[in-house]
Amino acid sequence: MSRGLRPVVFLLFLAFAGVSASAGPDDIFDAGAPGALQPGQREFILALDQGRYTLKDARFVDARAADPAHPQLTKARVAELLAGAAGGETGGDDPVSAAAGAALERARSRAAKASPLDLNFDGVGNHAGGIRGPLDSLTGAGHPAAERAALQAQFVSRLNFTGDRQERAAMSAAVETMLTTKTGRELAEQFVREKARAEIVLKTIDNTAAVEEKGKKILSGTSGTTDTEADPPKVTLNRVFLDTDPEYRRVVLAGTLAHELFGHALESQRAKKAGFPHVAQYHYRGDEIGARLIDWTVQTELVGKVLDADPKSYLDDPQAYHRSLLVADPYYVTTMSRVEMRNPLTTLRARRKMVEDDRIKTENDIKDEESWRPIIAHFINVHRIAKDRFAPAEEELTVYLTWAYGHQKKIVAIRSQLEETIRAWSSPEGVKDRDALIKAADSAYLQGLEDSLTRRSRALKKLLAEPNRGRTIASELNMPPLVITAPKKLSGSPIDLDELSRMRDEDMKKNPGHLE
Amino acid sequence: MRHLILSAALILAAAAGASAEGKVKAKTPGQAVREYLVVKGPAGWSAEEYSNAEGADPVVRFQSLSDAVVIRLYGAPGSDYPKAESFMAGPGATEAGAAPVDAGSVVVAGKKLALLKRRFPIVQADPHRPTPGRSLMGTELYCLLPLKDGRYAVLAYRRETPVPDMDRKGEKAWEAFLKTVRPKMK
Repeated sequence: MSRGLRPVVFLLFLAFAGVSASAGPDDIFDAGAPGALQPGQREFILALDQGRYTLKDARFVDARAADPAHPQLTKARVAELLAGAAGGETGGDDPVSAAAGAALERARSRAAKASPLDLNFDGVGNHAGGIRGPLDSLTGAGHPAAERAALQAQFVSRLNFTGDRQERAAMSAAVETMLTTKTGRELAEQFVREKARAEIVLKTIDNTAAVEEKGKKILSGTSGTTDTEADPPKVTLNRVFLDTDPEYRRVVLAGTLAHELFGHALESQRAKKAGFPHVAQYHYRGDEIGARLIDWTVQTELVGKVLDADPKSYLDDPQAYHRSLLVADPYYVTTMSRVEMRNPLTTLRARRKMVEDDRIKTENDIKDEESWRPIIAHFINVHRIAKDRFAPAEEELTVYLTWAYGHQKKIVAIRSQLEETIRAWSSPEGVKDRDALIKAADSAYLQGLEDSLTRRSRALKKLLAEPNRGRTIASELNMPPLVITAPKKLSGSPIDLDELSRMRDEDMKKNPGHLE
Repeated sequence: MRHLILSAALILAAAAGASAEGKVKAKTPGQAVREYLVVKGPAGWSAEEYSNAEGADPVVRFQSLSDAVVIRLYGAPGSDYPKAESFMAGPGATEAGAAPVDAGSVVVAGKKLALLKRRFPIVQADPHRPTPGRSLMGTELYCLLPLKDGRYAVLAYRRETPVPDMDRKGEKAWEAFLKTVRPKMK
């Protein structure tokens, strides 16, 4: 914007802000006056120049004022900050949006001149320079661009991220993508408001890889972790994301970032402030599902579905889902609901039977699985059905058997984890942890967290039920389609386990004793 | 009669440490179900009860190895699925968002009900470490039974493994279970 237009802008600003035109431009600006600022403008100014401006008693204070004796901003200066920022070429028709665009553009320009090492996340200007992607992606409906830009600047100023050029680009894109979602913005606002902090690194996590699925590279294994005992919490995002399909990465990395940053890093800082013990946070089952709900919601808000998981099992029956997790991995066997936390040792002892039942069930299923092989052989040898038609059934059996053998080993580890925890909590050394858990069960913090889980769960259910949800990316990037196999006749079509089962029943009716 | 009475099974379940979740204080989930239904669980199957939606949606579940018979009661104030239509549109009735398969009909308490079939993913590993590949799928047969006071029950047989039951013990137990179901009129 040219200097000649500035008086016009100032008058417009006064009119816009509801300030009498008779007021002098050199008067101290009163941010507390009704209508003085539009939504987002306060945050926008506070985010400028790495926190140069602060608010004190409803007055903006300039830490680098030319006259330190008069650090408070005048109306003219506030108007200039808002209007001057609108002069960038990327600004839109809306002066507030334009202001945000211009501010970012300037920051980007500064950053472009900086050395790569300066492009980290621990400074508003520098970080903003790291933001990639079209600015118009910041102008989602219902959230003014200036407000979003201010939020983004404030949010990233609370993150410490270091990495090479490629990593910075990925992180910038993930932050930006995340903030295009309603949930991402809400939680980022809370993150800023609560003065939370986090360190973020991109690092290759063990036992993970980019694997091909339907022609697209996707991540196999852990997508991210958070060390909540570090100060600030340290979020590790899997660097393997950089090798995945761009659209998959865009969605899943943003979801993972939200999961780790808000679900774990922010929540652990809240817990700490509330005096909620770390041991209780570790064993409370809602800690992980809470983070997962955030992740799922962010992904759904982005593309209408969750690309790297299926939330429906949880949404359908949360209690049954939690129960099934208990025998899915050693970590979960010692996690508990709020009710169970009141009696942690009794709860864990009761799980011995559950783990044993699961062992017996798996053993039984393996035997059942093996009994289907001779049935296939029977149809091939006696009924002369082509062997290759049984490929789907063979594959289902193999997939199951591979999982079941691995699961048998996991049951051993689950049992070991369970016994170790029971032993620890039964010992004098473990009493402190056990009692902390019992006390934490009835804390106001935990009640609030449970309420938040319920709200998130209901909101996600509603979101996923919206018409046309789940159609954006279609199935090309998702897990294999879960298609119900309709009963088929013996017409040369492929035979899966369902069909094989039907064929066996028919054979037994027609030829009693045939399969004995 | 080789069935256990539901109430007896629930008492056993409670004694075994099965815990009721949510905010139900006056009634256990089993008691909430028994206000609307009389059923007998399959003999020798374990029983447990719990609820979702902060106690509004009670569940009673009987299990034997990979077979389960599940009774879910919906329609109470605060229910996740206040109407049968909302349940039918949700994840518990559909398969990856697709409609369930028509599996014929069953007669429950003298009423002919549509029998539906769907597959559902089985939790098979730590979901924090998603691994691409074919998911293990279980199979569910279910029907909806209208009850008094706007309540309705979803009665389901779940085979929680992709491996078919060669002897169909689970399905036989489910068919026998359905014959025991009696809605309470008052």
